[in-house]
Amino acid sequence: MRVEVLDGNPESDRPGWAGRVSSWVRYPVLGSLLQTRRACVVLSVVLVLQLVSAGLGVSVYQCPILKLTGVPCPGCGLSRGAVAALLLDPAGVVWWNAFGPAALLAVVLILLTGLLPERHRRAWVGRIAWIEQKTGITNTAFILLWLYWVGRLVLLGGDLGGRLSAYP
Amino acid sequence: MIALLGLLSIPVSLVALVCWIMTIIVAFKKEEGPLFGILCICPLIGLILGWVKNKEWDHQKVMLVWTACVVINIILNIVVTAASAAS
Repeated sequence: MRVEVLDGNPESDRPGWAGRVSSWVRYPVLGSLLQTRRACVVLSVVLVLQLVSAGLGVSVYQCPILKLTGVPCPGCGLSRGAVAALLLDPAGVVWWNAFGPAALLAVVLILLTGLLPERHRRAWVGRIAWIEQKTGITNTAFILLWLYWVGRLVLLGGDLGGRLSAYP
Repeated sequence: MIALLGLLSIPVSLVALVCWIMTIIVAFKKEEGPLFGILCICPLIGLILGWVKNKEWDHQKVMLVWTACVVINIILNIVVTAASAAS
């Protein structure tokens, strides 16, 4: 199955940088990612294992940037933030990564997509891609995650690396 | 034994690091805008996006090597954690 980029999008028809930025932001990342059932199943297994290990306080996948430099990457703390969101712990979410609930939502979407029967799965993925192309929600969330990372680095400095290196 | 496994993870991590840098470069080169290159700065997101775009970027071999390195590192982490807990 191929997710086609919507035609006639007024934003992407706009010439110059505004149109280009709009087409980047509206690229359906999740829609492309979930095109095959195999990708959904592999991603679901990997992400659920990551969340379970984070919940158990075991560091299975370690961020190489944090490990090598002590500086966290934008995604550091997302698994633990997602677990905190799952446990309805807002303080934990803010402590680890405020985008944890968004990461949890993405995992749930991927898991659901993997479990759906093929006919429904195709329609479901098409709907996700359509929403992404219309709203640019996924890439906007990524951009906000990056800005949040820069903000945290500026405000917390070296404390952030120490906080995210220490496992609960 | 634990120290040996820890040492083994260093070359694997270095290969993974090289693959990650290559993915960032390809993302900036092959895409019209900087969005994907910037997103790939987070290695986990870079790994996922690299697989999404691997055919478009003609980047399958690097992604396979990178994924293998990540899997080996995860296995090593599990073994080291289990061995540390047991000793």
